[in-house]
Amino acid sequence: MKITINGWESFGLRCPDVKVNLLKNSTPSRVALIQMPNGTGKTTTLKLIRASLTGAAQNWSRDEITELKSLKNPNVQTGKFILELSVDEKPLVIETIIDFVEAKVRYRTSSILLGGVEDGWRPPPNIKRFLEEKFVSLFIFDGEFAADLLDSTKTKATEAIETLSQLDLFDEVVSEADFFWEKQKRDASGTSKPYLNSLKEREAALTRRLAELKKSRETAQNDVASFSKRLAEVDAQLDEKIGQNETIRSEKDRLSKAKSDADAELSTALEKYMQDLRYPHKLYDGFVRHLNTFKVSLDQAKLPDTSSRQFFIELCEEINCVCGRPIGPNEQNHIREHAEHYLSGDISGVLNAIKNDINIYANQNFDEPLSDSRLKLSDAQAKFHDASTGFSNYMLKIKDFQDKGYEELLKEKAQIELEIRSRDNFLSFMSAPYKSSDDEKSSSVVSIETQLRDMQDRIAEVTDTVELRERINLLSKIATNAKLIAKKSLHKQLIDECNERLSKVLVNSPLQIEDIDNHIKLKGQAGGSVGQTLAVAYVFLTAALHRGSHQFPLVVDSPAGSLEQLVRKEVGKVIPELCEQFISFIIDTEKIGFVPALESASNDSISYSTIFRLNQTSEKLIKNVPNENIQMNGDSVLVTGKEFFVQFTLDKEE
Amino acid sequence: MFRLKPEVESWFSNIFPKGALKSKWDLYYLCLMVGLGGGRSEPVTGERTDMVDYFIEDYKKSQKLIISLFMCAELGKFGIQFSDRLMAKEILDKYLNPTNPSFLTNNAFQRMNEYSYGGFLLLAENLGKPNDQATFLMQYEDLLNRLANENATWA
Repeated sequence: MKITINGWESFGLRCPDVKVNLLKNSTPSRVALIQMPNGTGKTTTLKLIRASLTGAAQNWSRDEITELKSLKNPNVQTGKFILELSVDEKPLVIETIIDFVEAKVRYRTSSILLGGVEDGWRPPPNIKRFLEEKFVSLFIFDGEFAADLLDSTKTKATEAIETLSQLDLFDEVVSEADFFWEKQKRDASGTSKPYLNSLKEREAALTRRLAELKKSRETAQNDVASFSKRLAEVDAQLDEKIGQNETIRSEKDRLSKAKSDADAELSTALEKYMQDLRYPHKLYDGFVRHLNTFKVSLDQAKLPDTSSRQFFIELCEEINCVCGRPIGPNEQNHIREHAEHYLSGDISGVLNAIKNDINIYANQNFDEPLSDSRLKLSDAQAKFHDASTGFSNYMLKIKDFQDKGYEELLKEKAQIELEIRSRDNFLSFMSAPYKSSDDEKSSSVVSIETQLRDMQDRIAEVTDTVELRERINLLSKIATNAKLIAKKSLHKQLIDECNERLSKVLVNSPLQIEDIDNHIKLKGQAGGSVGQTLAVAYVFLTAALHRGSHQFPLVVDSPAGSLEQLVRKEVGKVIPELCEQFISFIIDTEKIGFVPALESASNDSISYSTIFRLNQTSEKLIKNVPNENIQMNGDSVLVTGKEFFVQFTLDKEE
Repeated sequence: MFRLKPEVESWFSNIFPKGALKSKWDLYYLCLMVGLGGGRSEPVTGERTDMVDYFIEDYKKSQKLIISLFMCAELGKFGIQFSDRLMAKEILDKYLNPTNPSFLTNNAFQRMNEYSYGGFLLLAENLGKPNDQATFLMQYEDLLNRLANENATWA
């Protein structure tokens, strides 16, 4: 599917009364630059484009509606915004009509299928799923959304990938399957109603409890992420303060090194201890005794046999036995029966190998028994504890050195650590395994999930839908796993693709994506500058949008404001390659570096519009502009064309 | 196939995967040894993760010892003497499959998975959710020794 924005028209609103046409020979330009000085109504225009696409204006409050009223004409009763789109080359027009008197918004939509105009927000059903708020914010976005992509407390990056790749279709499969089973349960007959009802009530109670717990778990996880983020900031501030005092810094560095050395020693000891634990004979004395007894028993039972079952089976085929006597039918039967008492040759081989290993491992005097590596581990742990305590005590001791803010930060750090610990404990309870004494009041998600599954199995039994339930479980499992696999693979592909582009875009300050785990995690740093964040967001979103089989316009407010000139140039080069239509609301100070790069990458498919309010200063600007390039409506002016666009600067504005 | 219930990974989540505990096989093995030592096996139903059907490199050297201990546990559980040749042959046929890289039959996989899950439940019932690898592993060794000493199979 391909959606493009062909233009819009607005009147009676806070943004200028203009008709913007983005078509060039009936086709939208690949790049459309709309220059609007600050205060001209850029934000309002973007809000209305977004609301036209999502239908969200119907729920706006009186205050939100009043804010859209034209400032110049406060007595205006109605405002209108008309958005013209193309959906797979067919026109679609959505009108947003704002009644300022009643503080109500209504929509009118042109019908692609039937022609004419219908009341209401009625885009064709096949595009509705792409017009949800979360989807639209991916292609009509602002700086705030870009920052959210890299915020560890938010899940926008994962949501963006899932939405664009439509991975939620897997969830729909699961919920459709559940819905179908619910229906089958309702229709089931031949079961004692009161008993079935009581099971269903318990199932409903467990389902409610599970939802509650999952919500609490999500809140706790988000809290941990927020607190961890703040903790990193506090640590950085503490480090900065310490760094200002030479004596303290060198003592801190010494203690920090001692701590990290002790940590390395602990890791080595731990590795060795675990290596030893991997040998069961080192783990427990009784195992060694029993391994030896096992071997002796095999010897006593004369296992493995000196002859294999195969030998006797083959012997039956012979005319004469190895002793020379003939083998008749009776002898054959006898040999076959007794052949079963022998092991196959292959099993004998395995058994010999088992006995050999018992001989090697269970009977040797260990060079280093488990007790030795445990002692070393215990020592290393104590050393690490001492080093760690030494470091923490020193940090506490210097709390009031010259800087009062330091103590405040320490207090905050202690409080944050406490909060994180308490959330971690809570999350631990939530992952406790199921115990048979648990009921629906359990605080463990695992336990409630187990109980819920058992209950569903019981309902399936009594409603005779066991087989169906099993199939649904299988389908759900396949869909869930498929989603996980697809997500993992998509993340990997996107990370590779983005990193390749980032190495071109951010040449001077290389930045790479390490992982996409809810948010975009950068390699070796917690976050980037505003410009870097925006550059990463562009690269990520354009790569994600580019991957799907659908095409959407990318609409951005102030696309280059916080980007350094060199980055602007690189971003400008990349964007037209990655989307079919790029619409950018821009102010004059952003043009340097960005616009020439966009122009050269757009293959001449670029349009320039400048929208501003008429006043004494701007009136002079349009004196020499040909009439066919000017559209005036009251104090609203729209000038099309590159020359005016380039020359229009802020110092000539009001 | 060696299998692990998701709750196992979730219980170990503060100390896995990192440091000395690198692979799911480590979790599987730690639980299996406690299950064998404590003599507890529990059916592995519902959601579970398929791991692999072989012993990974870290456990290659102890593969045959683990299999032997598993068979000892099974014999002990059912009061079978291995010196009884016919009985021994039956058990070997039931659990050993020389054509599989693990040397195990499907029956053996199923029973070992049950011991591993039973062991996990023993761990969760006796120790708090682990937060520190060193502390946990030392507590683990102590617990395994205590449980095995209390179990008639090994005592």
